[in-house]
Amino acid sequence: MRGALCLMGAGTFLLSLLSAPPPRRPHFVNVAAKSKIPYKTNNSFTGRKYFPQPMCGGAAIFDFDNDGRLDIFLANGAKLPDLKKTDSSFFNCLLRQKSDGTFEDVTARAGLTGKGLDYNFGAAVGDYDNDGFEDLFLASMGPNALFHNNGDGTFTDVTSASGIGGKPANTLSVAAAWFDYDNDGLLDLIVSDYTIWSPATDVRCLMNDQDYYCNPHRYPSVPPRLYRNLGNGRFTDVTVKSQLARYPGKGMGVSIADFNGDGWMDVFIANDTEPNSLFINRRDGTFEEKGLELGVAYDQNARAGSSMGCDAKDFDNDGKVDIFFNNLMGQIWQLLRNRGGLFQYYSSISKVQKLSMTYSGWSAGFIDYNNDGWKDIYSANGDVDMVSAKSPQHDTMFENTDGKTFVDVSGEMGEDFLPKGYQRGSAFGDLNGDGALDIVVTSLNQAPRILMNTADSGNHWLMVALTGRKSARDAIGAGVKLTTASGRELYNHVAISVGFMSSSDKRVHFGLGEETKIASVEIRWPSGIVQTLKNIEADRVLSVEEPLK
Amino acid sequence: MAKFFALAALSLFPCATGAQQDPERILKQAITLHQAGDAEEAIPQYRAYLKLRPDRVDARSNLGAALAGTGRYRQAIAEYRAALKGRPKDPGIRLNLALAYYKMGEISAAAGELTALHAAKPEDRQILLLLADCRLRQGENRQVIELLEPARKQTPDDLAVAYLLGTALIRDNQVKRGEQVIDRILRNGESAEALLLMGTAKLHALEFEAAAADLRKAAELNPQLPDVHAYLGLAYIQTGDTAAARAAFQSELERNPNDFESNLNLAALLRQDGHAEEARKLLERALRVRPGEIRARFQLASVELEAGRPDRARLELEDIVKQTPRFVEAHIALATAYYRLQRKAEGDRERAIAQKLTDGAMASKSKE
Repeated sequence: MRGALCLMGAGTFLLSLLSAPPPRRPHFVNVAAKSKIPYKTNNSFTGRKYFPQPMCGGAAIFDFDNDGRLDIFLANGAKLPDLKKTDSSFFNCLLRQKSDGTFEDVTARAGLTGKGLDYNFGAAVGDYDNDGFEDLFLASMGPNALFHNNGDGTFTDVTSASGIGGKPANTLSVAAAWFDYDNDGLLDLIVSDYTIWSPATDVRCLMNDQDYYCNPHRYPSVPPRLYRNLGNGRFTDVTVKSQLARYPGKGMGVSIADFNGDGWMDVFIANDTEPNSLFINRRDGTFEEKGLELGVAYDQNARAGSSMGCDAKDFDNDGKVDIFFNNLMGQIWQLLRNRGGLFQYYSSISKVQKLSMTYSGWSAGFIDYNNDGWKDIYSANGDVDMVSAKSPQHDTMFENTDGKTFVDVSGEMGEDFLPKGYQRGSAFGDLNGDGALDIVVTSLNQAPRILMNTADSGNHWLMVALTGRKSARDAIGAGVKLTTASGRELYNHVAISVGFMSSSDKRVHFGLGEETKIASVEIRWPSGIVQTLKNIEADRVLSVEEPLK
Repeated sequence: MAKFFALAALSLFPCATGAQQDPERILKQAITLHQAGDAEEAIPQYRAYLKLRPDRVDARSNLGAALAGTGRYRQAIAEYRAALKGRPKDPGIRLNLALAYYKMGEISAAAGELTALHAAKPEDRQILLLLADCRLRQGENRQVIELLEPARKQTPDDLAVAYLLGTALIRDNQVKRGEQVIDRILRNGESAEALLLMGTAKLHALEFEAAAADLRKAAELNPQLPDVHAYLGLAYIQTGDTAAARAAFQSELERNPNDFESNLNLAALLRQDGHAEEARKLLERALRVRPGEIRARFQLASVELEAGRPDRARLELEDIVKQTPRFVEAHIALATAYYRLQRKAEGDRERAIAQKLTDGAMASKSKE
């Protein structure tokens, strides 16, 4: 009997060895080399360090030609100190996805090289005229630019005609976000401005005869600018009228969400070396800055960090939109949990503090990369300056294990995820339609990476594509609550401005874990209309039009 | 057996027998019990004696020692102070009083008594080292250096002096001088003390991972080494490992409940993780060690803010900024408190002050 027990024990042990290999995580494969991509991020670095150089390479994922396949746009720098795109190495780039999954360069055909522009930073995608084709705004040193999508594969520079190009001279605009702040069904635009700078006023900082990038405090802070959409292709600058002019900062990433659940879109701006801003919409065309009061302006010790990229999503699925932003190594990336009014510092409890200390993050976002229903945190990393062996860094993926704690799984994301460099822009979207989010990343003076998710977690998903009718067509900020057949509740919302200088696919993604049945999908449109859909199958794109009542 | 009966009789009939007892016999019993290590039984005997002879300083001092021996420091302090009224210049009683304060975590009061003792007996090594340790705990590093420099010249091989002086120099950012002093300890091989000092030096040099490694090893070699867990906690904070930092501070507090830095930093970690009440207890203890210490008071105000009591936070912070008008973080926290109390104008004012101070500091830095 004793022998039999031993045998059984050994058999069980062997079985457990055979049947329970450690679960393999989905990872990422760079497919950029399969396509002919002329673009390299070019910040014109030749030894002399100009203040804006660490910022370059905004990215966008969107379907510009409505062929059902997501395309990619990449912004680029300019020759310094000339501030001109003196040759094609500084051109922006539009990559159209072909039916075989490769990308073709259609920049010139589309009219988006930016040849006449200066140094471009951020790309903001949004259908401002509700014609069903996504338009493109470029935040820049020098004039900003608005490109109207003509619907035939080409764009027209409508900056002057739209009235959106105006800003104080030499304003350095790094990012922007479309949203409908007054709920009139038209997308307005907020531009995250950083400072006033020109090559002539650039401060040269030297240490032991070596250039280094100066502390941002050498430059003045400026407020963000808000442009109201008048509905006829024209915009008016309402920065003063909206009260935003009262709140200068050094704007970097910008996130749009309804943080207080009142149905009106609010704005979070991550400020570099300045307190972050949380503009709460007062529903009368004005905003009140409440970052300090609500606990998002400073870190847990009342100190301002070098806030960079940001995202606002509900990472713990409690129905309230939380905030994440990254900063530089030695500081602490901030995960701020919305407690229904005030925000709670959550980096320590969630382990993000420990995981992030050695990284300098730029563009970042909450993405459920493994479709388990918990949003993970991706960050494109690399220090500001090239001063030590720790300066070039790889991307990170912090996996959300249970809505409370994160673990660093970067090492399991595949070798294409891990090259060290100075990563800057990043955009998210399901490029190949397999239900898993892919990533496009730019890196200073490198070719971009198109990181395809291997999507082999076995988990299920739902993509919700919303079309507003009373609300703006892009329905930015529309909240989606998904309840699975087992009763699990998941939350997300339409967010295009994600990370830093970048725009992600507007469709709302849900990972469902092992569940294949969805009991209901409830949509809260920006117009205030609430729509509920029931009994939905998983693993599909669910297209929903806003009802008019 | 006889002793048992005598004690039993005393405890059964304390009032009836007290008046009939020979006071000197009671004192003798108390001393015998005390010397035999039975302080608990000696205490009522001393008290009975002092009821009969309230002016006997030695007996009161002994009662203080017995109370201190059973951990009742507050009562011991009262007895020592009463004894000193009868014999104000008695160095033994004052030293005991200082030690009781020290054990209570009332470092400031202990330092006061030790300063008087040191002035009277500057050659006394024990008093010197205790006073230096108090000053170190109070963060008065310069005073430690002033106190110990002459002693180091006289007795360069005194490792205790080298340890305290080296620590003070490093904490005062005189890292090179500190390293020279601790070199003497290092020559004795890889000791816990040497590793602690090296770890501390690396902490000051912002080499946090390396500091944590040294301090971890020091704690393994001698877990009882004062401050080793506290510094390990500080190193862990800088590496972002707050769970390990919490554990380290807790280890320090198990050995030395009145360690200021451990109380303060553990409180800050607990506060940021939402454990406001636990944090408050630690901060109250920290403030007993260093009354009025501004960082502890700031943390206490932050606890109030996070616990949803902005008005209490406001009161504390208003006082803090009055005392330390250049404390930027306090202005920011005060602005937050005002905003949460819907006192927008005052919030805006404090916010503007914080911004102005930050801009000023940055402008000075840029000029450098």
